Amino acid sequence: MSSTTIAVKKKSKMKQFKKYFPLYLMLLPGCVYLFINNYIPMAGIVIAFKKMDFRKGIWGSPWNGLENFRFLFQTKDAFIITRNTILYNLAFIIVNMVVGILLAILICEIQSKLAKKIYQSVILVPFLMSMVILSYIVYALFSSENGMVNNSILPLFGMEPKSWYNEPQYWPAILIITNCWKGVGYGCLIYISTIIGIDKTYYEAAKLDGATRWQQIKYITLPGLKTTVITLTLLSVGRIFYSDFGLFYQVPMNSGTILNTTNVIDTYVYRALLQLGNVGMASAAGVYQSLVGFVIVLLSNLLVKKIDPDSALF
Amino acid sequence: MKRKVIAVMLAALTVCGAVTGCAGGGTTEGEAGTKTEDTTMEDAQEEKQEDAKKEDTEEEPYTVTMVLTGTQQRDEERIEEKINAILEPELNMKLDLIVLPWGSSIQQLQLMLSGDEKIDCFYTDSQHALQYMNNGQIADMTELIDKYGTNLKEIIGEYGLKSLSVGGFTIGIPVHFQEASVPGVFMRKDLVEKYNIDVSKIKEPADLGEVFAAVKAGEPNMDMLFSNGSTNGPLYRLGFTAYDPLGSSMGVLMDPTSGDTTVTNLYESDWYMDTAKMLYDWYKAGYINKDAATESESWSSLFKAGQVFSMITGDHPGILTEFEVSTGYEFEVVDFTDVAIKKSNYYSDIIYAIAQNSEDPDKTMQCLDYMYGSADIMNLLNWGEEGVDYVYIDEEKDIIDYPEGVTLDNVGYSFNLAWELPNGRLTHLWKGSDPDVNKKTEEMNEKGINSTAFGFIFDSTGMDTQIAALDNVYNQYAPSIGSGTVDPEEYVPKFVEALKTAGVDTVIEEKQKQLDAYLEQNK
Repeated sequence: MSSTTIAVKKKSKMKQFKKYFPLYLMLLPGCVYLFINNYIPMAGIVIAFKKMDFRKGIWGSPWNGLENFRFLFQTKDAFIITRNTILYNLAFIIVNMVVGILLAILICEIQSKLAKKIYQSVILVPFLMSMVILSYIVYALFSSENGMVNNSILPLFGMEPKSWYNEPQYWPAILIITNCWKGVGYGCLIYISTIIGIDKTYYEAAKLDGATRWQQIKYITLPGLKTTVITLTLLSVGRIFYSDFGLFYQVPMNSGTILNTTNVIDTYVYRALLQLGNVGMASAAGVYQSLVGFVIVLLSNLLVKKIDPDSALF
Repeated sequence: MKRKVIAVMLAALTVCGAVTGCAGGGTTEGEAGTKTEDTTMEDAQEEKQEDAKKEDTEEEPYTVTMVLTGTQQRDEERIEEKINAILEPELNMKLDLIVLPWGSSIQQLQLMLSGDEKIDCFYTDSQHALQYMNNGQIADMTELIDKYGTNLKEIIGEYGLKSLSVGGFTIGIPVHFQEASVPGVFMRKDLVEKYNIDVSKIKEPADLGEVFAAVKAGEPNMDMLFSNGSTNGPLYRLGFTAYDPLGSSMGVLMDPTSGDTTVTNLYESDWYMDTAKMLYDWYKAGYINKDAATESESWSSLFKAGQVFSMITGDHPGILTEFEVSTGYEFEVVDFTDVAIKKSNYYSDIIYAIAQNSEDPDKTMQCLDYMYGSADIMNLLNWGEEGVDYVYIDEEKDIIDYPEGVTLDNVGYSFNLAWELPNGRLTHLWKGSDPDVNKKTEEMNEKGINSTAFGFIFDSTGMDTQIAALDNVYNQYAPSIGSGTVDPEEYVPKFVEALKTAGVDTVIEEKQKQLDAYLEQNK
């Protein structure tokens, strides 16, 4: 009896495999690509534990334990850069999500099709801009000598001009707003497509029951967005230990006095190793970032699983 | 069943199609590229073989890849051909120039040296060369110099060549363009005359305060002193005779001609504090641009725009012409001292190194040595081709200018970075230059006093952790303090504190040990 069920199971598995074989075949190139591009280079992690000597090559170079990691934790900067990286990324995730959803709902409420298209495109334009250009837009606003804020806006309120690029306390706000302005269009686009995908009959039914606009948003649109929000958030949480180098290096114009609030792991590593060119230390920083990123993804997925098992990634 | 088979086949087909479709464009293009190259190569080889048969030489010419930093010139290939016309019959070699842009040259060079790209020799400085040595990216040149350095020994001299040897490993060869310089202030002549400034009253940097006050009163929208956070900033330039940086400026020799050999922390010195305070006073008085710390515009473009009145820089024969040509204004120059100090980096500031990747270091060295002695190649590299890119206006005095109809904007080749070339002294002089500039430079160099640590090179092997941390601290504080934009009373102590946590004392200690050993050896 039992042997027959196993045989049947086996048979059905084989059958299933045969049935989906073409699909597996289609999966193959993607897997090969992923393997070549993302897995084989992982062998390079060993560089982080070696004293790299180009004469001897990667495998011939001597090991030097955790020596390469030391510079990351040597000074009190270690705390500052880790704190900045995580807090900024958290702020970016939350602000971009809230503003993105808000804009997406507003755009979807617009009746005129043309206006909808125009708003959608306009909001995406900053996303396509290079950080260098963006840094000069910010500079045009905040430069002490010729900046718009110092010369036109502050005098309106009778305030003294400020030396923006020397005062660290303003930079969290400036960077978060800049990042939101630049990045919100992309997330917004994804939210809009999700909202459009929500079944129209829900809204019709709600209208028949006499639901107001606000109630429709609260009970239909927002729950409909939940899965997208969770996926996007989990994806960005995985990169919480990486920071947008352009944003943190170009936008503050590499000004030293504001480093306490603008220095993140990537810029720290760049400044430390630009002169040295030590490959081992650079890899060490990369390994550290990806390890912590990996752990954070696992943890947050666990958390999501606890709260809402259907939405977890794995 | 049949249907399934067809489905499988179809799926397989689409997959194959997708893969080849994606990669298709690339491969065909690449193939086409290599094919044409191959054919031309073959053609060339055939031709050469025929030539070889005629001349009975056996070897293929070796191509030396030389990497420089600057602006890539439009007609680089034309000049390479001209250079090859000299090199091929003489040495059976060819030269391939690669010019990296200023902004990213350090990173690009690092990549070239890390991969297995074709690179034979390149221009660098001893600080970077030491890192390359530690990473195993450059070749030891000691034996090569002995074997092939005939011109080098004559032009640079044994002493200069030996000074680049670190623990028996020669990291490079110095260029022949040493310029001892003294800190001085360059002021716009028209404004000096307009406001009746008595320049003879300027004896030391602090005297400039009054001058700035007088000019600022009449030109409220101008910056009185060019300042930024880089090594072009005023504090760095004033330091030219105040201390010997001993390489990295983490641990320096203050007052380097006094004979005192104690390595100290520059940023703890009174000189640093006083100079920074002076600059900060000027900043508060509005003499220095409010955005100086983040200023990325070059001094020449700010002068050209009429935005700046003066700049502190290293004065040496020939630099005045450079200033006047690149800004379009005339300048009044006041030096703060007469005698230059030849510091530890006198020979090691601009050097040529041979890459570990080089397929034939021997030939590369031969080629370099030949170039040190070849005025023709130096002039081709610096000014281009005679009659096309420049013409003589006074052949006897070696002075040149653009030909008719050629300007800075449409010239095909004008590299104009003589100091970066192996032997810049052999290049022609541009119109307006002092014909005696080379002689005067020699005189000034001879008159200069040697620093106690003259010729010393600090080897930072094994201190990468400290240096990485120190570089970060330096970048955090030095640009703002050095440009005068922050209060030194508040920031210098913070700076010093941060340096200490980053391990500056270990570096100073090690430097002292090496310096003592060096002085003992060279008594």
